[in-house]
Amino acid sequence: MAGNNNSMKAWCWVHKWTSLICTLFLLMLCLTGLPLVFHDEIEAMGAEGHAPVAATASDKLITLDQVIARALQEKPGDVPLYMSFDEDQPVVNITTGPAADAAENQMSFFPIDRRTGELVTGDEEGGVMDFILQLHTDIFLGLPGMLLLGFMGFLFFLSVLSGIVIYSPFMRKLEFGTVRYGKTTRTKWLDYHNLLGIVTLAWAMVVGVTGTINTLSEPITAIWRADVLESMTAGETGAIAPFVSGTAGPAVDAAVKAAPGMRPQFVAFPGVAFSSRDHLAVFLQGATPLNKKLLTPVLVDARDGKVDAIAPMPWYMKGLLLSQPLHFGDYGGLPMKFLWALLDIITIIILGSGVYLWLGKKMTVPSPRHLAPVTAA
Amino acid sequence: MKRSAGTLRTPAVIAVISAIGLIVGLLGDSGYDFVAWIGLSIPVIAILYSIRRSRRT
Repeated sequence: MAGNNNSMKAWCWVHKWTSLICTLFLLMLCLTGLPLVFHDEIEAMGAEGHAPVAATASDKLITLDQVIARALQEKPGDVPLYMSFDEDQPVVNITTGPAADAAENQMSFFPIDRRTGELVTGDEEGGVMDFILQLHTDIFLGLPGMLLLGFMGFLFFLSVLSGIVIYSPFMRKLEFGTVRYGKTTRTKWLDYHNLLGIVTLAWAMVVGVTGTINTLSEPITAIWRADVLESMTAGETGAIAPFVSGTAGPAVDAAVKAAPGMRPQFVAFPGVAFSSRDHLAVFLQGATPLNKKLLTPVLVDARDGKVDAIAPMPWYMKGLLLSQPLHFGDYGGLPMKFLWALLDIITIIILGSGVYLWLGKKMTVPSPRHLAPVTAA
Repeated sequence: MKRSAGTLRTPAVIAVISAIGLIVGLLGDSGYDFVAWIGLSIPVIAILYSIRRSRRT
């Protein structure tokens, strides 16, 4: 019995400290996460007059290489790094940089409409949503910021886990879901905290753990690159294959031909984080939400345009790719987004009530000296 | 031990249903999405039901 008591005390300690350390960060993550759940809808509202319009059969689309040339016109001297495809409109997004290993702040982003060959306005970076996204992702600190938030996500996971362990003793004499409205405010909020926390635990754990995995995206991608992609260029000189105009379109065609039934989601040019030094990596996606996220890279030789390999993702990259929808809640339409937002708000209430209970606990054992002025007032 | 199993039974059922919703939603659209909505609605419904019941008693 004493052992049980001691272990329960230890779990209470874990719950208190893991929660207290991560609460402010979690509050920021929940508050910034709320608009991010609806980022598609918010961005569509902001880009009024530029609502996505799907291409019709009569639309004459410019080639992918013409799209790249158009982007490079905007930034002469740059090379293409990534090319991604919008799902709901014939818009191709070109990311350029001074070199393949360019830092993120040196990169430029050009969404180009394949019907007109013109830049799509309203998609510019640097808006409020980008600010919120960066605050949510790395608090403007780059990789260290991501890893710090990842650690906070891990503490949040421990906090939920310890919360489950200490839930039982609190609820032993109560029926599930009881909120004691007749008792003190603190008791009522303790009951709310327990109820909201215990019913949302699966969602909170999934969002917390997948968020932590997402913060590790850079190191995980680097491992994959070294493990899988670099092994395909073993023995080469180490030089990055130079960009040759006119090769991107045929490379995408070759990749799609090699994996029928899939559509290209993005292309990584030689030397960037998602490709080898010698290949254009064409990332293909399937039709279901699961297959849409589990991208399959087809490596096309940048020099001769031949498909070198279809390289299915290893387990850790699959884990990373699946962590994205499970964290964003963007795979079940608008009703899922509303539920995601609701659960996010519930988490904010859990965090707030947790702090209140912690503060309240201190206040329930005040010394008589502290009480005196309050009573006098 | 029995007691904690009892207090955790309902939360465990809710957690399993939400987890099924989260996973099934990934497998496809329309029907699969519907299962996901149900799964994620259960925690919210459990909260509303519990509050309503507690207010009555």
